[in-house]
Parts: sequence; C-alpha cells; structure tokens
Amino acid sequence: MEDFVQPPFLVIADTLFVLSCCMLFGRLRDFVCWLLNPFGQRKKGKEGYAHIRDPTEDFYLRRMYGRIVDCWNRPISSAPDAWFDVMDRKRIKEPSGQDVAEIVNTGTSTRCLNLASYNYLGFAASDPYCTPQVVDTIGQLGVSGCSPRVLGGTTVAHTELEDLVAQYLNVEAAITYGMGFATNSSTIPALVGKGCLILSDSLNHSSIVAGARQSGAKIKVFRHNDAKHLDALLRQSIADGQPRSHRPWKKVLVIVEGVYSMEGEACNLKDVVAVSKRHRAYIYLDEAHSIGALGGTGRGCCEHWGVDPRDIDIMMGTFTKSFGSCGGYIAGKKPVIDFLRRHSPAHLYACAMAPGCVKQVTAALQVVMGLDGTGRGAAKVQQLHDNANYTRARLLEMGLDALGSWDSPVMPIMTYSPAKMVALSRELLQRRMAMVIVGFPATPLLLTRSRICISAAHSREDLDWALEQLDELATLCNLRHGNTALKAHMEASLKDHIRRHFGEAAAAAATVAG
Amino acid sequence: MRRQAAQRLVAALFALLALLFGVLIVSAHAQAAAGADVSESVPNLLSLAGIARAWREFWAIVGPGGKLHPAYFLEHKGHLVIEAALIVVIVYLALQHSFKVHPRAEDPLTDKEIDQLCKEWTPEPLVPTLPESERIEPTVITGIDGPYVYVQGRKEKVLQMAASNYLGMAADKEAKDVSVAAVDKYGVGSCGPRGFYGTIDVHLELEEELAKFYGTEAAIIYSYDVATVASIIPAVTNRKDIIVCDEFCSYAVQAGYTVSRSRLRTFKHNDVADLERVIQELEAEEKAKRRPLCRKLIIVEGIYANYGDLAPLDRIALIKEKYKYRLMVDESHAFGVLGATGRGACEHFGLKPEQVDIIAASMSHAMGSVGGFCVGDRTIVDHQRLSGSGYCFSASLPPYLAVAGINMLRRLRAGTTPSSGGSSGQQQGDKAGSGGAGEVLPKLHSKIRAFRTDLMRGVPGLKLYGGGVLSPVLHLHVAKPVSEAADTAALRRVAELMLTSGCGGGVGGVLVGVPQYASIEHRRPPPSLEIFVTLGLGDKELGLAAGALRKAAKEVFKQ
Repeated sequence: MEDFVQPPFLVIADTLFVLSCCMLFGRLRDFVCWLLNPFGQRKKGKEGYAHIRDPTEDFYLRRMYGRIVDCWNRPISSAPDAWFDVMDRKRIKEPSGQDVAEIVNTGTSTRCLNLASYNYLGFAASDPYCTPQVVDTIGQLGVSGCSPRVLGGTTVAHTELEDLVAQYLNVEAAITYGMGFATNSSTIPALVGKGCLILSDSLNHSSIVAGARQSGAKIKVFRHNDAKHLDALLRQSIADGQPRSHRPWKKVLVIVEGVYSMEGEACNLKDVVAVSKRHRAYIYLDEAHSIGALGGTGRGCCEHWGVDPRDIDIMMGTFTKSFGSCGGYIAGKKPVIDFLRRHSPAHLYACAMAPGCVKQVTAALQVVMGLDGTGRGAAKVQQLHDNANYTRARLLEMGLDALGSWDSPVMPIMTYSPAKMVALSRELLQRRMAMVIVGFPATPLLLTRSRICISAAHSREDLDWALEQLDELATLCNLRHGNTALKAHMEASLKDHIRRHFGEAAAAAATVAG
Repeated sequence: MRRQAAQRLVAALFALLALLFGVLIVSAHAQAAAGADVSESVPNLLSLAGIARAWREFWAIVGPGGKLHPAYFLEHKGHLVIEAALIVVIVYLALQHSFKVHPRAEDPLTDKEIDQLCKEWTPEPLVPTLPESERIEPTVITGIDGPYVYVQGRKEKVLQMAASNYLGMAADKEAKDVSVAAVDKYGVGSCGPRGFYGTIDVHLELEEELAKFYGTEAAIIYSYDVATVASIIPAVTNRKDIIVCDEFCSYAVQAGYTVSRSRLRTFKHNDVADLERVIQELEAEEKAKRRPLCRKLIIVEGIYANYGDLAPLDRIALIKEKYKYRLMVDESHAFGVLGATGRGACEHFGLKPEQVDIIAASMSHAMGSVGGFCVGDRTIVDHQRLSGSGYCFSASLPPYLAVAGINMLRRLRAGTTPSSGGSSGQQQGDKAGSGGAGEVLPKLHSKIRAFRTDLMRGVPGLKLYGGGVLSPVLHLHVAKPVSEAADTAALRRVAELMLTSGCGGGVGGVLVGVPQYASIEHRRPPPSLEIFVTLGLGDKELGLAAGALRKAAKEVFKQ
C-alpha cells in the first residue's frame, strides 16, 4: 500500500518549503533571543544537573510542535461513544518559542461526532447487557484486586474470561493481562532471548518494539507486509546463523499485526503463515485492532483470511478496542500459556486486571458470540463492516487518498503536508467532528495523515453527515489528489475481498462506487 | 524496486565522479607543493637564528600567499575535496538501506546451499516444558468482604493477607459506589490513548489531586503499575546517561533500565557507603574520559517490594545533593502508608517533595485502584507526556479506576478512610469520621508494629526479613536455606496449610502468597512467604494469622 501513497511533486515541494521556513525562522528567532539575552533566556536546569530534555532535541518541540499542541490531548467529558463531549479549550499563552502554547479548559464542552476512539463494536458506552454485570462484579469483588495474579489477585472473573477467550479464538488456552502495551512488552522477553531472532514488520507498534528490545534477541525488520522480503530475510538469516558466532538460531519469531493502526491495512497473513511454516519460524500475531473487527463473526485476522488459528503460535490481542475495556490477552497452545503463567513478568508482578474491566470483556464477548441469546453481536459486526466499507468507498469516490483494507475499521486519509493536517484537525473540530491526526515522528515526514476509526455505533446518518463535511473540507484543504493507482488497487482488492466472502458472481459486479 | 535501483546507480556514479575530481585536485595540489626548493640545508634549531629561519620558512608556507594558507587552498578549489568527501559520505549513508538482505561478503552461499541449511535447521521448542512442581494453580477468589475473602472450593471466609489493600479502599463501600457511578457515566474503557481523545476529565482531575496531595508542580498517570517505572526510566535517561540503582530493585526498574540502555551500576542493598563509592568511581571515570555532563539518576524503592524493608532516604538524599544526581524513588508500597499524611517513605524520612526529583508509585496498593503515577516538577512530567512509551502508546486508564483514585486521595486528606475492621469485618461502611489521615495512619502503623513484633518473637523454621521496620510488606525467609526449589516448595506448603487448616472463630484460614520470580529476572530474590498487613485487620485477626502461621510452619519445618 505504501507504493500508492507517493505524494505529488507539488505537495512535496510545498511541504518542504513550509518546513524549511519554519526551521529557518525558528533558528533565526532562537538566535535573536540569544542576542537579546545571552544568559538565562533559555530555561536553565538546576545548577550542575544535565537537562532532562536534550536542548538540541527540543528545537522541533519548541518551534514546531509548540505551535500545534492544541491538535492533540483534547480532553473529553463523556463516554467515548458515537457522539461524545469534547471539552472546549482556549489558548491563554501563545507559544513563545521557549515554551509550548499554554491551553486551559474553559469549562464548557461541545458534542462532537467521534471518529477517533477505538470503539469498533460500540461497547464503550453503557450497555444494557454488559453494564449491570460490571456493576455486580464491582460489588462482589471490589474495585481492584490489589495483588498480582499469582498471589491473591485471581478471581472467578479472571478464570471465566480466560476460558471464554480460548473458546472464542478456538485455541487451547489463554492468559489475560491488565494492559495491552504490557502484554506485548512483557510476553516477548519471556518467549525469546539471547540467541534468538525476531523478524518484525517495519510498521509494528511501539509495544512490540519495546518488548523485542527488552528481550535481548537479535531484531531484523522486514518490509511492511511483504512476505517475499520476509522469505528472503528468513532464508538468509537461517543460513547465516547468529551474527559473529554463526551458530544456528535457537528460535525465530515472526511478529506481525492483524491490522496496522496507522495504515488500516490487514496483515497479509496467509502468505506470512506459509513462509513462516516453511522455515519453521514461530508466528506472533498482534490482533490489537483486528480482534472483534475483522472476520464475519469478529474473530479477527485469521477468520478474515481463512487461516486456521492453530497455525498461529501466539495470538495476542487487546480488550481496549472492540470490547470497550482495558487489558490484553495471549492465547495459544496449553504448554505455552502454562509457561507464561509461570514466567511472564506482567503475570507475576503486576496487579491483576480490575474485576470490573474483566467482567466488561466477558459480557462483551458473550454478546459477540451470541451467548446472550440475541443476535445483537452478529449485527454489530455486520454493521461495523457495512459502515467501514461504505465510508471507505465514499472517501475514495471523493478523490481522497484513503488507505486500508476492506472491512477494516481504521482508515487514514493522507494529507501529506503537516500544515494541511493541522488545518484539517482544527476545521474538523469547528464542525463538531473529532478525528485523529498523525505526523512526524510517528509517520514519515511527508506521509502525515488524518485517521478515521469507524464504529458499529455510528448510524448511516452520522456517516453521511460526516462525509458531507469532509467533502467540503477536501476542497478547502485541497486534499483531492485523485490517485488513480490507489483507486485501481482498491478496486482490485475489493473484488478479491468479495470473491472470498460472497463468491465469484458478486465479485464481478462489484465496484467501489457500488 | 527497479526505480530505486536506478536511483542508486545514478547516485553511485555521481559519487565516483566526485571522488575522481577530488583526487585530481589533491594530486595537482601536491605537485605544486613538491615544486618548492628542497635543496637548502635543514635549519639548526638549537640556535636562535635557526629557529627564526625555521619560523620564516614555516610562515612562508602557512602565512598569506603560502601554499598551505586557507586562501591558497580556496583559490585552488581545495574545498571541492571536502565537498566531495561529504558527498561520498552522504551517498554511503543513502545506500545504507534498512531493508537490505545482507549476503555474505565473500564466497556467498548458493541458493541450493541455503535451501539445504534451511532444511537442516531445527528450532528449539517455543517454550521449554515446565516441571510439574512449577505448575501451580493460584487460589481463586469468589467474593470480598472487608479484610476477608471467599475462595473457590471453600465455604468459610478466609483472611486476605495476600493483597496489598493497605487502607481497605478496594473493598470499601463508598469506593465501590463512586466506581459504579463512573461506569454508568463513562462506560468501562477509555478506548484510546491520551493523545487521541482518550483523555477524560477525571484523568485530569486525578492528576491535579495527586499534584496537590504531594505539593508538586504536576503529576502524570499511567494505566498499569509495572509499566509506570518501566516507562519513566527510558524517558529520562538514554545510552549516554548513568543509572545507579539498588541491587534489590524490582522487575519494573530492571525492565526500565534495560530498555533505556543507560550505563548501569548497582550498589549493595541499602548500603549508603557503597552508593558513595560507586558514585565516586563513576565521577572519576567521567572526569578521566572528559565526558560532557550527562543525566545521572539514583533509583531506589521507598519500601522494597521483594524484601519489605525501607531505603535510608535521608542519607541517600545527602549523597544525591553532594554529587548532583537526580533521585528517583519508587513509592509503590509506601504511598498511603508511611509518613504523617501518607505521602510515603520520603515524608517518613523528612524529605521535602522538591528534594526528590521523581516520585513514582503504583495505584494498585493503598489506593485500591489500578495503574501508576509519577509526581515531580513540570519539566519532568511534561517530558514524560511526549516520551513515556507506556503513556503515549497505550490506552488510558479506565475512567472508573481514576474516579476510585480521586476518592481515595480526597478521603485520605479528610481522614475518612475505612476504619479498622474489628473482629467481624462487617463494618466496611464504618468511617473513622474525624481527625484526618493523622488518625488512620497511626492506627495502621501500630498494627504493623504489633504484627512484626509478634512474628519477631519467633516462627519455627522461618525468619522475618527486616525485623521491626515500619513496613506493611512482610517477607519471611527460610531460616536454614537448602535450595531454591526445596525452600519454595516448603513455603508453598506453609501457605497451603495456612489456607486450609481453619483457625477457628468462623475463619477458614489465612490467604498468604509465595511470590514467584521469572527466569528472565537479572537477580532473583530468595524464596519467601509474603504477608501484607492492612488496616482492615483487627487485633483478633492478626492474632489468628500469627497463630495459623506458627502452626503451619511447625508442621512443615519439624524441629
């Protein structure tokens, strides 16, 4: 997908020009500040102590990020449902160049359409089935366990959830943790260490990077979603063995994500599994964004591609997104989970997940699996896919560069220029829409983007209204890049998607516009 | 792909041309320099005149008009050599592509050989097989009732001494009520990281309350306890910096310094003289190598989670001031327990908040919630908001847990934390009423002292670590250690007996824990029996617990 998002030449020129102006004037102003007051203008740290933030690194922060801080960390004052209350803020101090702009809450809030939260299945708000169970559990088991799982933190709620997760994913066993980030960052070091090799997708999440670094294993990065490159790297690495000593690797772990959070793209799982199996590498699949969201019954990336979940050695996922709670799980074969119960640091030392959060996941899973006796869960997944595909098709039709796979609830809209990204974010908030924008350093400098997260809680009217607004903004911010290569690619992948799910006949008739 | 290759080819050609040009210029320059007269005799440097002549000759070359003068250099396009060199460097860097598969430099393997090698390679199993003795089923709790819990498979309630619910907040009625109200308003999860609309008003409120409670400029909350310290350390130090850390620090600290990749030194546990020695060595090394000033951090725990004793913060603070190190204290177990107002070990030792640079703590002990926080001055906190990986890249704390935290802080300040449970444990709603934290905390302290004194009188085969220190975390080690496995098995047997052999008075037993440590820990503490003293336990309960412990220990360590 990256091949299709090359920004047009004029956009590159414009962006680089704007950025260099920013740099130039920033440096100039720094120089003038220094001339006017050579001593003490820059905030000095305590005498004899080094700065907490490296003074050479904070230029970007002071002179660039400092101007646009209002685009992030916007607080809300309600549940992150389809519509939510974004608290109004105002600048009380303009960015001085020494400091970022200072923003305070005004005390009022505005009801906005929520296109930002990872509330894929709409469990974020109070739910008639889940909330009463959560309330009961808090009454029965308290607010928190105040103890790690191995000491006195394991409750019936935990064991119930672990059984249900294993059943849902159709694997032997599962273990749960209180935080999605820690699930990755503490499980990877427990599984691999010195003498092992980690092959990680180039766009993997920061938690995977943290875990891999902590493990002490050798890390190699393969090109995003490129099974061929993975194959080449695997062959070469296995043949070469460990660096310097050239001993054979103890084990090789391939780490991929189900849906990449900044691309909205589903992992090319079938090919990755085939390559890894051929080379006997273990597969670690992070389903943070895909569990509950992809697949006909929300069972994630495996169901989406028709891969047997037992072929995946480690299935990881989080409860933060689709299930409206917190925490994460690792699922797989029983010996693996037993080992993690004995040797995973987050299981041994961290406080157990709060019982209320556990119950929320259990209840949400029951709804998704249809165990609550209604068809509500299936309808939610269907609604999510319909919403996502409808929105994606409309965005492409408008001529916007919307990325991501079909069915995936995450869709970035490429803005390319950071200035446009900021303009878009502010204008969207003016029009009562909340959308996430991402720029450097989270993405490459020229690939800044704005991201929509679709939820099953959105109604068609909500989306139509949002698309109407976006259509106006596309003109205002000059975002219609009319990328024909991307459109052709999306058309082809749509046909492929429909062929797999609905058969040959439907595929022939499908177009993005339809 | 092909386009990229072509681009690289052009770049390489260009670099080659630049290099050639550079070489031509250098050789021309050298020729010009070699043309100078070399037939004259070498000046005698022992005489004044000789030195003067040598200087004149030197100046003729280096001074204005000389061949080594910058002007001559520029005039003859010498700068092109430097520019060419720079271009070569740029091209070299541009060619360093991270996606490249590096084949062996010489005598590369053929495809067939690679296939053969791949076929021959057999990986180790993903996980080693666990010995049967290490597979333990934890006790499953089915209900909570003040200081008591109900466990699966047993009818009678048991005393909960395996949870660090020091002030009884987790099972407190008011805490439950505000949590339920928050669930109704905000739902359970926050569905996003703090930066992306995951900041909820109650998060800001809790941060404000924490800053107010500690009297610091700012506070920041994390959504998980082990991720707190493990995120703060890499945010404030990196490869160039120095960390000096107590050797008994917990896993979160170890994870933090591993990720930060700083230069790490450890000092002997609670040995301030050794800390000073380590710092002096480091300072000498810095001076000898003339390194620029870097960030230096001392990390200790207020109450050591794995040992249960206190760090001598008063003396550590003196060292820190003397050598200008920053001090980071993990107050997880001390927060809400030590000090006159419950601010932790720093307050206990009479340190002012500004004397400690970073205070971090878990919210899952005395606060009765989940997550962690850090307080300090604005620079340190704001820096974490951009660099703390557990803060930036993880979903924020579920709002109801933040509300539970706010509730605890307000009540700790007002002194209305749940009072001591007494014998029946039914008075969860009972309030101490008046007097502020000043009344609740001394009560907790006296309980800790009483229980510790009781156990110091002797437990068969076991030894209380730390003796009579004021710490609610009790670690009992085996008095005559045999081996790690045997000791752990014995301690586990003690815990099991304490849980199953009833201790009378309608109490089915006492739930205590035997901590386990992961194989990846750098330094594992000795096996121990871990007991937490909480406010909810009355004199009767503490007596029962001590009795049960003695009985079980006597049975296991028959003397």
